[in-house]
Amino acid sequence: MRIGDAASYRNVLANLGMLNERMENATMQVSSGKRLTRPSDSPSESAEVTHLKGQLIRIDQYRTNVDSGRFYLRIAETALSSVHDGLTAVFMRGSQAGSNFNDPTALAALASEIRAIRDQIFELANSHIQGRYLFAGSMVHQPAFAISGDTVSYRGDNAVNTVEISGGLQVEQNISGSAVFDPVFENIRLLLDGIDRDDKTAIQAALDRFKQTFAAVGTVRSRLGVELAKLENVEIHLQAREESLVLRKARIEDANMAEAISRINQTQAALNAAFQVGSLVRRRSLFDYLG
Amino acid sequence: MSSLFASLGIARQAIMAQQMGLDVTQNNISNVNTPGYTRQRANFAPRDPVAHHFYQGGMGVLLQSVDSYRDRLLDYRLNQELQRKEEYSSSLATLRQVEAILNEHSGAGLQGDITAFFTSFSALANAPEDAHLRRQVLARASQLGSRFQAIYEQIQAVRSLQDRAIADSVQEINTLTAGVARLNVEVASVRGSIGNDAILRDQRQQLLNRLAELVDVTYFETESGGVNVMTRQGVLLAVGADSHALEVSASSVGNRIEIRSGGVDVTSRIDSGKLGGLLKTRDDLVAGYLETLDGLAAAIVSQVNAQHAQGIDLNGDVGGNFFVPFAQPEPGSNLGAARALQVAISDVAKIAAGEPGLGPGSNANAKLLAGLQNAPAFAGGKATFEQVYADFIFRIGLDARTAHDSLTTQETLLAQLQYQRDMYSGVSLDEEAVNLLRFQRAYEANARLIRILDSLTEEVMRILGG
Repeated sequence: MRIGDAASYRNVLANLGMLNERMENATMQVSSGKRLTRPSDSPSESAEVTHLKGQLIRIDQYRTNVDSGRFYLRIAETALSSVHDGLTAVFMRGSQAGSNFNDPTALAALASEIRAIRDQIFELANSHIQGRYLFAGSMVHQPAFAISGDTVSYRGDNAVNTVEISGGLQVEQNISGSAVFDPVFENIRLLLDGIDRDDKTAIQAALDRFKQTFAAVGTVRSRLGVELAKLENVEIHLQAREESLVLRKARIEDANMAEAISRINQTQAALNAAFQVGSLVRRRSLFDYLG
Repeated sequence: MSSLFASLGIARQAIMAQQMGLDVTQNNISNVNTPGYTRQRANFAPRDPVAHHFYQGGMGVLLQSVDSYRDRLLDYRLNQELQRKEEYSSSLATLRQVEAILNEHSGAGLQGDITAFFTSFSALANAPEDAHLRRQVLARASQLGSRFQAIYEQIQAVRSLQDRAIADSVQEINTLTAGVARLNVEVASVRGSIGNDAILRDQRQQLLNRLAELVDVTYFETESGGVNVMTRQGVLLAVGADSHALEVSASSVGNRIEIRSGGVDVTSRIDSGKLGGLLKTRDDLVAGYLETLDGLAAAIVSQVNAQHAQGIDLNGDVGGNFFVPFAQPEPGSNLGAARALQVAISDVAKIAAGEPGLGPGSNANAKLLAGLQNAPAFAGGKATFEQVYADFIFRIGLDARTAHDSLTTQETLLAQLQYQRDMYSGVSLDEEAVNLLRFQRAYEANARLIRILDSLTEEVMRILGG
């Protein structure tokens, strides 16, 4: 068979070109650590990675939302726990005031103590973080409650914010201050009114209403507990989901270093062989044998 | 029986013929590395015999012709496959640039910015009155706009490079077709003379092959030896001694390029070659990518603005435009929307995160704005922004992959054809070495014959001179 000299060189060049391209791809994988370095490496997997990246960013935000929700709910829960303690203290002093062993001075002292506790609860109702009043609904820039004499009035609204903590799953981030604190303050006002007037019937009526108030605060605290538990569960789920997505993304995108390095070695061996063949092509000529 | 002088004449012609054989061999050896060179062969034939008394006397050798080992069918196939190879090659070069611009695998791509923008509203929902979170929303929006603009401008820059490549290709095509026309005249003028015709044909074939790299051409040879060249869809490029120049102009419709011949738009009649690849990539693929980007940007602007208007800002006012509204240049066209994407507000208080009627702590509209990323806003309400973008990445990847695979296949095919051509038409130094020996020995034999004839003649002269 007749073989032209150019054909031999062209073959060597074509093989070198192919091997060099293979070497470049393997080297790029090793140096970048990525199996996919451009969409054309695997169009469908690239599209999937695009989805995965979007999901990971969203999960990151969901986790931030979980942290934020837990932060506000824990503050509210702590505040309501203190409110519960305050209410207990008020109830005990109210019960003392309702007995028949108090003279006016003692009653005045009890009323004064109750007012002091009421003021503490008032402060809790106006809890704020960085200028944000937690129990004011959406009117976060102003104190949730105002006080005039023994009358405390709500100045916020009943808006309850929810935030998304997972695909479509929302968690309440605040509670209506009016629903929790209005009965508390009204009850204390009635109690104080009864004590100021030394009206045992009114005092007893106010004390009777405390059961409902405790129940109301307890209900809200339970709800907060449920929401906090929901946040814990979702956080675990988000973490698991994130790990799964990161793993999937890595499997698609990241280079198998051992395989890539092995491919580099194989290609290098093939390149060395091709170089040797190339030098043989140059040496082989009948002219070398002619005198 | 011929005379001594006649024999000397036969030997002289034989020497000349072997000399010519040596010349042809030398020419082959010289051109061993010349691209497109077709090896030549000296064809010898016995001269017509002369009748003598008893027999037909041989009159030696005659150099009949110098032939080229040219397989026209193979040349034509090579020419055709070159066109496709260059088409895929130019497409791939452009698509590689587009892939690099989108940078989805080696950093934050547009997808990351779109998601980050929408999730910044989700972050804002945690504390809608928070100035820091509001600034973050505007920063993400601004980053999204910058990314859209950067990608758009970079892809446009690729198109500008393509414009220059198209203009250069057309100029080179015109130079080549003028060269083919000139060689047509020269081939016709030297036709029949030994050797020159083959060299000119080689030169012309080289021009045709280079032409095939640039544009899809087909050609045929006429009786005069000239070749007529046209595109596969019939745009005349060279006919005999005349060449027909192509021109490049901007289309009056859209941002497209037109190729004209004799004032007529022939763009759609150019299929392949580098020019065909450039035109297809520029005005079909890349234009399609820009259209998708524009559509994506226009949808984000309109959807976000519409939802933003449903909320109230920190001052209690109804939300204005979040992004600068995009005015369509013509109905149904979003041309330029990606480049124009820009945040309309600079005051963070103007972000309408709240629900009308509620206070600054309301986050209802911020959540709805965040939820737009999952809203089916495309494909007749079936696809989200993310799905459209992922599909976009898939499309670019597939186009580049197809171009790469096609190029690889084409290169393999071309290599096989070139190998076949080299086997048939290429110079083999071993073969030429043998030919060199052959002609050298024949030359030496004839020279010796002349010496013998000379000594015989001298002997005759001596006898006569007695």
